[in-house]
Amino acid sequence: MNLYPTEILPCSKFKRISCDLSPYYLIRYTSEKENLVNADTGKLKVETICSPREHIEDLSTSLLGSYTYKHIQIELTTLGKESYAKYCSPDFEVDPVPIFETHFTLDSERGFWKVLIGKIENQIADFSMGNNFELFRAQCKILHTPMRWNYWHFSVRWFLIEKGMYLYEIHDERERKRFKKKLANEARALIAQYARVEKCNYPILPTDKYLL
Amino acid sequence: MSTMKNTINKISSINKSIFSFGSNADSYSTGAYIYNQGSVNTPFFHSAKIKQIHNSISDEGIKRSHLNKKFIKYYTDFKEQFEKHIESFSEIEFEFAQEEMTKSLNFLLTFDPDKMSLELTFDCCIYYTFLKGNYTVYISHFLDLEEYDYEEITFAVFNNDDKLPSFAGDFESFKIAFSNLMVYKPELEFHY
Repeated sequence: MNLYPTEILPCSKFKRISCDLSPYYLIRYTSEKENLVNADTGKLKVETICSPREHIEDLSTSLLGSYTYKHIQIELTTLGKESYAKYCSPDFEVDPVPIFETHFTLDSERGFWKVLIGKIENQIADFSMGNNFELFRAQCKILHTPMRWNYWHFSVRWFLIEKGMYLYEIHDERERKRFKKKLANEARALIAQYARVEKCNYPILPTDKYLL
Repeated sequence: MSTMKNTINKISSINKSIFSFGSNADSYSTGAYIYNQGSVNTPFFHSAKIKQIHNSISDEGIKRSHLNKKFIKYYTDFKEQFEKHIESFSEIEFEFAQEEMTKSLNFLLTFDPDKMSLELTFDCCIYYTFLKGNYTVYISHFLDLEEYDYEEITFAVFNNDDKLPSFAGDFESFKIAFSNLMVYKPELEFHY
């Protein structure tokens, strides 16, 4: 697979995916293939869920379907990140296509976890705050966020119900940090509880759901 | 270590109810300890109550030894991970982290989890996965608190695969919420 898999690139025929995705899976790479699960509990390890560089409260994943297990090996180079690790519209025409070793390499040591969207989407983190009896609710949202290197890129984000906004939209740094801590635990818990590291059969999104 | 101290104190108080230091001049014993008949109303060698207390002493002893072994296992994990992730924890003193870990670990062990793991995360928290019966609880104990932080610890709970309300608060509130969770009966309304 030294030629970039063009089936995962955005193109002028594609639209934003907004249908019900509950029977579909999200997939995310892990830095290793082995020891992804904690031997004591049988649950995913924290370091498996996402690497230190990533933000657990705004987690990058891909929709399993046209984007398959083999695509998790794609690793953008520094130059590749500069050019392709950017959000874009679904119908963005990628030109030039990423070039092997210039823009991307393949990491065969990567593993993955996958999670059924229906298990995590719209889950509500309903907090009781012990000190001041304040209540706080946030809802897990799965958003189609195409990137120049991957049309099938999806983000797991948190919508703060009382505030009517996403976590990243909070401008006050202190306030955002307070929410972020709690939601980081919530996000880790959802993935650890529902994600699996075994391959399985999966449904593929019908073309009318993403073609213009 | 307060839980350990409590266990030791409890055992000591049971001991005191059976034995007491004192002169053995009037006793049939030649040991340093004499039987304190005043504390028990029934004859020494035939008392069901005494047997019960003796059993409870040995149960407590076994439990304490069991807790100690578990504590040492998790403490070793903690120490290894702290050294491994030293860059993420560069602004946190090991002694402080150890003290905080001891506090939460001791508390959680008293609930005798079926399974439990302890991990350190890059965002400076001690992360426990606690399994008991149908419950799976994911607990983050934050070590990088700032002056405006009110939430020292937070947890998310699942009853089988059903998500229950989460919690965030200081350590004392956490102890109450977690204890309530562990005695929660599904037929009752769920409150922390």
